[in-house]
Parts: sequence; structure tokens; C-alpha cells
Amino acid sequence: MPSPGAIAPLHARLAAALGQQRLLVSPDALLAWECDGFTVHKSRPGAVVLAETTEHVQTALRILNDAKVPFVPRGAGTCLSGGPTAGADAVVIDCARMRRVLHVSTEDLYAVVQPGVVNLDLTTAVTCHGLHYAPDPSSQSVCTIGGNLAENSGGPHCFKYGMTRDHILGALVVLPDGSLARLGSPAGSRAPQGLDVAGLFCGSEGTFGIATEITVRLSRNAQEVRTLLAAFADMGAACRSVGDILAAGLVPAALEILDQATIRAVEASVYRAGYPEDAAAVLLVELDGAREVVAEDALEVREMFARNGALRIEEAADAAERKRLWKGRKGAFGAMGRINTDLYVLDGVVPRTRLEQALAGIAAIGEKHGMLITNVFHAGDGNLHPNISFDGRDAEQTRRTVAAGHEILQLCVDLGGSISGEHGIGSEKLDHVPMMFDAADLDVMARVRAVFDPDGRCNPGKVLPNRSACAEVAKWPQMIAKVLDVEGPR
Amino acid sequence: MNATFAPERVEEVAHWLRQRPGRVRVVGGGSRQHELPDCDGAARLGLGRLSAIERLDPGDLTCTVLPGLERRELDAALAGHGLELPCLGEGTLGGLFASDPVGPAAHGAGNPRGLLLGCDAVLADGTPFKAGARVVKSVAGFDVHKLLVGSRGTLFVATRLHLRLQARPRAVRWVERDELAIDEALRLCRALRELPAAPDVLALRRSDGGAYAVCARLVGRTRLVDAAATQLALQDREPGAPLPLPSPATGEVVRGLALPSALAGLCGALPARGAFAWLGGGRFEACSPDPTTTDRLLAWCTANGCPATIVAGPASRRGRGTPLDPGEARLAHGLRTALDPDGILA
Amino acid sequence: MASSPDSPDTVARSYPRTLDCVHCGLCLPTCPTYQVLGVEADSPRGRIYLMRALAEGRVEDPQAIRPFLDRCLDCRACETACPSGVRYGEILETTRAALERQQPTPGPKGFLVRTMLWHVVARQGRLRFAFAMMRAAEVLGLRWLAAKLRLIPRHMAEIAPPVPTARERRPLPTGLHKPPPGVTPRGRRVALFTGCIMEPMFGRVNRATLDVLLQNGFEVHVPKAQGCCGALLVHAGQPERARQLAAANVAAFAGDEIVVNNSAGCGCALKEYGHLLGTPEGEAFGRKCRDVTELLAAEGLTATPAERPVRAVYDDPCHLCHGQGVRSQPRELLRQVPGLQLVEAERAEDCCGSAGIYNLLQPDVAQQIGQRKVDRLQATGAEVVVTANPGCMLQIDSHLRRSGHPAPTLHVIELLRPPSPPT
Repeated sequence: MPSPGAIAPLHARLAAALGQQRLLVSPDALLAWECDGFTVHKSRPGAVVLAETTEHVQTALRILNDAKVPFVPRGAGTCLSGGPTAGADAVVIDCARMRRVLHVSTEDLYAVVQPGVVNLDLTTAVTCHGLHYAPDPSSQSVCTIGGNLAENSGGPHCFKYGMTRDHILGALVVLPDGSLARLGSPAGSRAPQGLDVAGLFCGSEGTFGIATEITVRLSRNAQEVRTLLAAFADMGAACRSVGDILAAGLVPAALEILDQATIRAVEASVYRAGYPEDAAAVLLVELDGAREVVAEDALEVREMFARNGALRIEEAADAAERKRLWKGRKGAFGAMGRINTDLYVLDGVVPRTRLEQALAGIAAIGEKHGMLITNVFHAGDGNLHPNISFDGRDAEQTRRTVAAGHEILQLCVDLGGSISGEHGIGSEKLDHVPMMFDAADLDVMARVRAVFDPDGRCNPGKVLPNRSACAEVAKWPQMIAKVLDVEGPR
Repeated sequence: MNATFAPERVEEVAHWLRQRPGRVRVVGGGSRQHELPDCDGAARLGLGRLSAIERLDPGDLTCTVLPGLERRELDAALAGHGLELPCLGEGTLGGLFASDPVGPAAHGAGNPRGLLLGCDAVLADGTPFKAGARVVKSVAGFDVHKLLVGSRGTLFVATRLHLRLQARPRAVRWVERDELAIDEALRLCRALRELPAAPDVLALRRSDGGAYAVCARLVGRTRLVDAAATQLALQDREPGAPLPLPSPATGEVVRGLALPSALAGLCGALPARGAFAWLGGGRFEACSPDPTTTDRLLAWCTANGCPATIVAGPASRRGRGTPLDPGEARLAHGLRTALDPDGILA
Repeated sequence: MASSPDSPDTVARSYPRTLDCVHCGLCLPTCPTYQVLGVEADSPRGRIYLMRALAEGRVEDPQAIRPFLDRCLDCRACETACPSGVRYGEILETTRAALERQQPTPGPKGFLVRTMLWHVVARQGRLRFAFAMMRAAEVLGLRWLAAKLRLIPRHMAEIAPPVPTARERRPLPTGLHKPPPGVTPRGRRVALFTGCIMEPMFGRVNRATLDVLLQNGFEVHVPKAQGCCGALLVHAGQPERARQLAAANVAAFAGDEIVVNNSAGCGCALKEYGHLLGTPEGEAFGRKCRDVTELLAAEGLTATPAERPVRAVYDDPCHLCHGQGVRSQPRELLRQVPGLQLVEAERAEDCCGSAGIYNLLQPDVAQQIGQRKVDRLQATGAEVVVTANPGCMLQIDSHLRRSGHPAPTLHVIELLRPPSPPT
């Protein structure tokens, strides 16, 4: 793999082919690309290409292929696992400028978009047709469809409507050698008797290539949406309400829980939603569908809330109130920034019925390390987001944060869950991958990856531990482990 | 007929493959073998005896099954918990996912690959591995298990499947209206798609005689379902979707994808006679009396962006279809080579 | 007590504020420059990150990051979106001041920032003289020649409307004004801040403000000793000069309890004198200041505005909605205008690209941002565009004219005049 110096000779070629205004090389300016939403790992890229078209991406990748220089695709940089963070020997292919909606079919219910289109902007663009794009990560007002595709992003409404992958029909992909592959079609991601290559590409965390046109499914807006909020005096009652709702065969569009510390942080922020600050837990339930069904479901849900001793039950009377109730949930991550200078947003999954057990375990881990751990989570999926607030300038606090995170993920796996429900592995969780997968599993994944990226130059050092061709980024976990004196990857 | 190895325990699969039995054809219940290319001389790996529900966690909406389990056995077990596997098709579950699974079948209702949460599997060389997880949501690692869908046993042998379940709707009613002209049928399809509680299965079919029928599975609350049935003048029908079409004694079957906007054109391009069925999710199958007619249909599909393949007919013709994108074809070939470099799985 | 923006360890002082940012990115879609340019370093998150790196001593050549900071409109839309409560404006102004001190802006831009702002804009007499000269030149047809000879910047020639007549430019009479006969006095006295550009460019807005206040029963004091608020100097990284102006204004309004202004940019700066001066007097002054719409909505109109049967769209000035949190008040007032149909534009809170003298310093970006703004305003089908800041009025008006749209751009206060104004 080339040394960081290998990029400098390419500056002139890249600038000549793409235009000087699409290339950033000033080391000081490049600092802005050092990290995404996961600020523990920082690394300054060797250059940034500001691509606007498929041809720009192809041109850049061909030049980089000739010199065997690694590259890292990037959208809006809201990833929470270090996915778009690049080593000094790599070039960032920034797709934020590729934000045109290329085609919308209101009859066949799909849209073709460039990867930099912001998730919520797509919904806004089709809302006049009574349609929306279903996956809604909390960062949906910022994050891009390209990033969603790479990460197979989730969101509150994935409980009913599925993850990003369930809404991806196809993609035009620039492979690391600069060649094109058109995966899937508006009619389906997999042709009859073919392989589901588009489905595999989704969730590959930017290590297979760069999608430059993405075909996504659009969904019809429900006839009726009702959003209910219940406040509980203890977390157990909130979790039991979720169990009751599911056991009754109801399928809410979303089931979200915030704990007390999160409620208070949100209420102190510009995203205050009027959540009761004295409650130990707030449960948000959204029901959607045919008007009559939703009305009946809402009554049943209210009864279940009451049976579980809800302190307060509130229902959004109109779209504005619904927006307010959701505002707090969607702004929760940023609001946690009020508690301390840094925030480690964890992402783990347990079987839904193990939620209470998991939360108790997380509290115990927090106590053991003396760290404040707050929880906001997708209760229907068992997808936990423990947030650890810490001061990143304090090495000891950082060490305890990383150690607590490690133990929480082990707890999730021990309970039969996963180390990531929607944030991805990126560089963040390389250490944790062996909790779920052994050498044989990883070898199969590496073989699959090599089909797309035989040189290991596409977003190196991500997803697969010790499999990286890019030595510098791959060393992160070990380096951090060494600095922080915690257990590194096996 | 070649020898069949039929393991009774999951571990035996890897052990047997490590002994290098030569070329291997994976068989579940055997119901879809006619769709595969011939494989004379290949040893048969029969998974029918690996038939068990290892875990069923109703509260988590998940289960773990072995690949030889028959669909109807799983359905019976789930019914007791008010759950279902939202996907059409019969046979063994391994075969169901490895072939061309269909559904949840209405347009916009997702893809069966979403139901496959993870699996344990064995590579052709006998190396066991796993991918995915057994919880409803996980993005850890590359989703190699999803490649099982449509792989027809040519990439790896799945030995244990983790599946996602859903609550069975409180009211379910299969309905139909038949003896329709094509434009009437298309209007009815559109009306069904636009119901506030859209059906989760929607199908258009044509009998040998040429008359169209529309059938659907209406779901939700009884009052609502009944009102929709009355409003659209739908009669009750036997549960079950009309795909796949029964393999005809002569002629060929083309399977493809067609979006709603292509449907009128596709129906116009069909052979004058012969069964045809289309699901709201986009999948269609059409019987064709002879190769010339089939090729005409495939030419229409190529010109109109509908991927299609011959799935039944003479061995020499099976697998022909509309051209794949060369880039995608190269990747698909690469994946086969990467996972089964010696071409053992036939 | 707030720190002064140019104390010796300025950047280090603002450093803790940068730590409030957890890099969530929720500010990105609200930032006009990020929307137009699509570059991380041209987003609030990116700029905070660069300023943090600067404070940490990780930036080798501070001038290399300066273009990104210079391109910021300082519109504060990001502050409205920030869940962590990052006070972006303060960090930016502190850092800009430090960078400007380290290496003053070169060339004509530097001249504009240092000389024009200080010697002309900030001194009412000179400003009036300059406008008189410009008007004379225009009457003689010399504007075209001046632009050709590059005596005035090309962009200024493009965006600046014709200089108003001397009658239009005449300053507001100073001293105490009483409600006219026939108007019931409220027994409330307010002081009016007249602003530097508003006087010669939009004299009609100041006269309307005085008139509406009087018609609604207020006594209005217009102190003679007041001057420019200093906002443009703060934005340009020259807080020490701004502080002189601020001190003069604090003194000029010493006897007044409420200071009303009709310019969102000035109003925001006036309210932030506490931070600028770092004194209790500055803090107290800031608390006295109100936007005129804020005052009238709180106190209620007693004089019904004249009928205006038009479709009007209100565009939020950044320094009113993001800077002062004033959003509903102008709309409430406009809804009280008989016959007026108020419509909303998409993303009304996005900056129009004026941002003080931004359209002179960053003409290309301002042009793109301005075009997006008027496209959205035009999409509403409004016959009148209403806003509440002179810079926004200039920018929107010039872009509307450029796209051949006939809608006039008015200040909210102009629509609140009762039917028959006295004299």
C-alpha cells in the first residue's frame, strides 16, 4: 500500500481531470473531514474529491486505480461508526454534491436519486404525490441516501417498514477499478434466478464501491397516523407495555423509549418536546394505516398503557403536535451533547423480550465504571442506543467509556443479540466483531468483499478486523487499545 | 439416478463435503428441481431429514429452523402463537429461500430476503460458517446469508435458518373476481392497491382460455375487509396465490418482473393462449407453447426493461432470458467463483 | 460575565464553546452555504471543527482555513438547529477577529472592510455625503461609467438599487415626538434607533416606523447622539472599533427604558452589546432593545392598518428569527392588515444571502443563495414580499428585479400604517 506521500503526485492529474474546484488538498482544510459522528476515531484524509456526477467518480477512481491508492466514499458524515473516516494515504470521494432526484414514478412507486440526496429531502420531494421514503434514521434531515445504502440504515419506523435494504431496488455502482455495474432494476433488486447483488451491496459500508444512482422504493402515506406518548414511573412498565402491544398482534409503525436522563437532556435543548421530566421512561407509539383500524388500535394501546400504570398518556392532535413529539426523539443524540463534551453513541441489539434484562445489565456496567449511561432505543426491535457522555480530553474517562462500551456489546451478544442494529461496524467495532464471528465467518466475508474490491482499496480498514489492506487505519483499534490500556482485538 | 446422502444431523453436512464427494446437487423436498440445469453425475445432498424447529421465540418474532422443514409444519406451529411467515410458497424452507421466493406479495411490501435474518452454512469445501444474526435487526458484517436467496444451492449449503415472523392479521380473507377483460382487471388491481388497507397479496392471472381474474388477500379488521370485498364485488376464494404456475406438459414457462405501468403492455405481448399470472410485487410467470413465441415475449421484455428468464422447458433453453447488465453478471460470476472455486455445487 | 471577543487569548477563550459540538450534523441542512456548496468545511459543523483545530494548535496555516470562515453568512440558522446549544456566532466572531488581526484582509475587500465600514458607514455625516455624491453621479449618468471604470465594485453596481432622492434620504427629525392630535396617548415612551444604512437607503421605513409608533399612541424619542450599531465591524472581525460605537450608543440611550429598532441585523447586535463590551452596562442595554414588530405585537395595535388587498409573503431575516427568536410577531401583525392574504414560502428562515456586506465580499455564493431565495418566494405567487431588515430588502429586491418579477419588497412596518397618515 502506498505511503501518504503517494497521493501528492496525483494532485495534478486529479485536478486536470476533474477541475481544481473539485479537489481539496490543503492539509488544514482537510481537517474538517477528520471524522463523522463517531468522534473517537480521527484521521485526516490525503485529499478530498467533490464529485458531482457518475463520470467524476469514475474518473477519480480510474486515476486512483492506476496508482493503487485507497479511497473512502462519504455522504453527509453522520455515520456513527467511523465509516467515512479516511487514512492519510486515502482520498475521500465526497458525494454530498450529488443531490439530484433524477426520476420519480408515482405509478410504480420508485425514485432514482443521486447518492447525496438527503433522506428527508426525498420525502419532501414526493410528499405532493402522497408518498414518502420509509426508512427514517434520526439524522434523516441530514444523512444521505448513499450513506443509508452503504450502512443499511434503520430508524424508528423500521419496526414495521423494514430497513433501508427493504427499500433498495437497484443501484448504479462504480467499482474500485472505475468500471460500472448496474445492480437490480426498478422492478426488483434481483432478477428471477439471479443473485441478489444489490441486496448484498446494501450494508457493505462503502467497502464494495460507490453507488452513484440509487433506485429506491417509495411508499404511500397512510390514511391515518396517530402518535401516542405514555410516561411511566419505571422502565419495566414501559418495556412491558411494548410486550403487551406486540403480544396483542398489533403492528405499530414505531415503538420508541427514552429514559429519564435522555428526557431531561432533550427538554433542555431546542428540541424540547414537552416530555414529562419526572418520568423514568417515555414510550412513543405511532400507529398508522386505515383510519378505522388505527382508531381501534389506539384505544387498545391506551388500555395497555393504563394497565401498566402510565402516569400520563398524551396523543398528538395534529401533524404539528406529532412533529413536536418526534422532535425530541430525533434530536436526542445531539441533545446529549449538553451533558458533556463528548458522546459515545452505542448501538446493540437484544431479543426484544430481553430488553429489561439488558437495561439492568447496562446500568450495572455504568455503575462499575462510574460513567453516566443513558438509553434511548427502538423498543420494538430490541435495538438499544446506550449513550455514554464523557470528556474526550480526559484519557481516563475515555478509557472507561471504551471499556464500558465493550462490555455492553458483549452483554448484547450474550443475550443472543448483535453488536450493531443500524450504525454498522465501521472502524468503531472492529474489536467487537469477533464476539459474533469467528475466523471462518470472516474469511467468507473477505472472499465476498474481494469480488468487488480485489486490492482492498475501497474504504480499507473497515468492517473486517485485520483484513485491511490499509495498514494505518487498520491499526486504530490496536493503537487506541494501547494508548488506553484496554484489551485490543484478538 | 445418483446416490443421495441424507444427513440427519447438521454436522454431517460439513463432514460429508470435506470428503470431496465430487460435484454435488443440493436437494430439499425436490419440488423445484425441474427448474435447475441437469447435473448428471453429481452426488445428491438431500436435506429433507434436517427438519426441525430449533427455536421459536414468539415475543421476539423470530424462529430458527433447519432447512428440510416443510413450510406447512412451520405454519402449523406458528398458527398456535398467532404468527406467520409473510411469504408465499410451499416445500421446504431451505428450498423456499434458495429458489425464487415470492412475497410479501403486494407491490411495496418488501422482499422475502428481509425474512432471512441469518444462517449457518457450509461451503462446498466443507468449511462451516455463519452470517447474520437471530435477532430482527443486525448490520454486523456483510450479509452473506442474503445471497442464499435465489442461489439455488450453488453458493453454499444453508444448514440452519434464522427467520423473522410477523403477527397474523386479525382478519384475513382471500377474495377474487374472475371472467374479466384485461382493462377491467387492471382497473381492479389499481383500486385494490389504493385501498386504505391495501391487500398484502395481489395477483392478476389469466386462464388458458384468456379470461382474466384478480385475486387478493385482504387483511386488517373484519368490518374493513368485508366492506372492501363488497365495494369491489369480490367473491371468496381458496387461500393460496397463483404462483408458481404448474409446469406445463409441453411448452415453456417464462418468469420475470414487471412493474404496474408495464402490465398492460406485457399482457398485450403475451402468447394468445396459455396461463399467465402476475403478483402485485412485480413477479410474473407466463406459459408459452413454443420457443418462437417465448423468444418474442423475451424480446418484448428486453425492450421494455422487464428482466425475464425461461424457467421451465427443454434443458437446453432453461436459464435463457433477457440480458443481465454485464457489470452485475461479472459480480455474480465472481461471487460463485469466490465461494465455490472448484464448481462443486451444481 | 461574557468574554471580550478580542482579548489576547481569544481563540483559546472560545475553545470550550466548540466542545459543545458533538458532530451530529443536524445544522448542515439549515446552512445556506452548505446547501449551495455541498462542502463539509463550508458547513457550521465543519467550521466549528476547523476553529476547534485552530484553538488546539493543529492548524499549520490559519489563512488556509480562512476562506471557509469568510464564506459564512453568520446567519445563525445553525444555532436554531443545534440540539447541544452551541453558540456558533460567538465562536465565529471571536475567531474572525483573531484571524483578521493576525493577517488583515488584503486588496479591495480589505479596503471595503476596514476603510469603508469605519470611515464612511459608521459615521453618519460622511455616509450622508457619500450618498449625496452617488446620487449626483447617478443623475449625471455616471454610475454606468463608475462601474465600467471599476470605481465601484462590479457586484455593488449589480445589486445596488438606484440611490433614493434627497427627499427620501432626509434624516428623521431628532428629539421627542408626541402622538398627533386625535390619537389616544398610551403614556409610553420608546426610543427609536435609526441605523446607518436605513437612514439614507430606506428613509421611508424609518418614517413609517415613527409614524406607526405615533399613530399607535407611543411617544418616540430619537436621540441625536446615536450612531451605527457596529454589527458589520463585528462580523468583519473588527470588534475594537465596534466597541467604540457601542459605547456611544449606550450613552446616547442612557435615559431610555425601551429602545426600538426596525433593522434585524442592528437589533441583534444591540441585544449582544453585553458580549461585545463585556460590561454590565452593555448587558443592561441589550435587555432594553426590541425589534419594532416585537414591541407592537406585545403591546397590541390600536390603529388599524390601511387596507391592502394583496397576497403577501413574509421572509424571516436571519437576525430576527435565529438571532432574536422573533418569528410569530411579524406574521401576527401582518394578519391584522385588512385584505392582506399572508402566505408562507418554503424554507422562509433560510438566509437570503445579504448578510451585512456578504453580497459584496462573496458575490458568487450570495448570488446562488439569493436566487434560491427568490425562486421560493416567487413560487408562492405573492404580489408583495415583506421582510424586516434593510440588507434583506436590498438583496431580495435586486434578485426579484433581476428575474423580472414585479413584486415590491417592503418592510413589515410599511404595511402597518393607518389609512390617512397625517402630513
